[in-house]
Amino acid sequence: MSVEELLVFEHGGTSWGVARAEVRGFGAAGGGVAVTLRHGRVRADRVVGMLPAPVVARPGRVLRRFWPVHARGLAVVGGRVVVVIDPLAPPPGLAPEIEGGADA
Amino acid sequence: MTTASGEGGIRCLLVRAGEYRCAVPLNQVRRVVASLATHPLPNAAPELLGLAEFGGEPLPVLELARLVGAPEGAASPHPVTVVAWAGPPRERELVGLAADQALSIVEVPVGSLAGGQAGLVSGEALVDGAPVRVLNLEHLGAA
Repeated sequence: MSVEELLVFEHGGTSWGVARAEVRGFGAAGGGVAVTLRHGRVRADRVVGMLPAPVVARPGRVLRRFWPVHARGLAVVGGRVVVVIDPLAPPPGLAPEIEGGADA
Repeated sequence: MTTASGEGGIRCLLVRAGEYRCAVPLNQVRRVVASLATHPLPNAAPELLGLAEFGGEPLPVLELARLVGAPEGAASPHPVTVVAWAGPPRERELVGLAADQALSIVEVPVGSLAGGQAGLVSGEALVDGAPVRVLNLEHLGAA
């Protein structure tokens, strides 16, 4: 079984993840962190780190019914529940408000 | 509705959700645990408390009182999460239902169900002289 590695970060009390292969860098921006992806940026309050995610499960029907936000999947990573984003269509709540931030 | 029925009855877990008592068919209950910590999701419907971790898997947790439109009741010192199977049998998935209190196991006589509906609340019945909303989680998640 291949284990995917995710960059895990927090924003708004939720843990988010994005495939490591999509991450180009991250840096401080406006009191938070801007994560630069291959196709755009997302914002974070804090970066947790690169963590292995053995299983990324597709969101089920019930979750989609009550949270109609596109996500690639869900995973439990290091004991925390992580929403794995689609790097091509991250949730609107992760859109960067502040431009800038140096890539790490 | 698939039932955990005995002789004309549906064996159910009785829980309190706000001011309502709700009966969850036992064959849809996986486990009852002390209230699970949830992590909120932005822009979620008010019924969705967030995601919890259960058995190493992510679990969406819904507030049962909101799902059934129950008025807010007294705060419970022992809230629970009912981990239950939701959705049609061939596509069932685990969800958490946050409830104020697990009360007992009861048998709801099928013949006593009134106001039969095709939704989450399949009807109401009297249990020990008090009204109970009988749930059918097969309909949870349907648009």
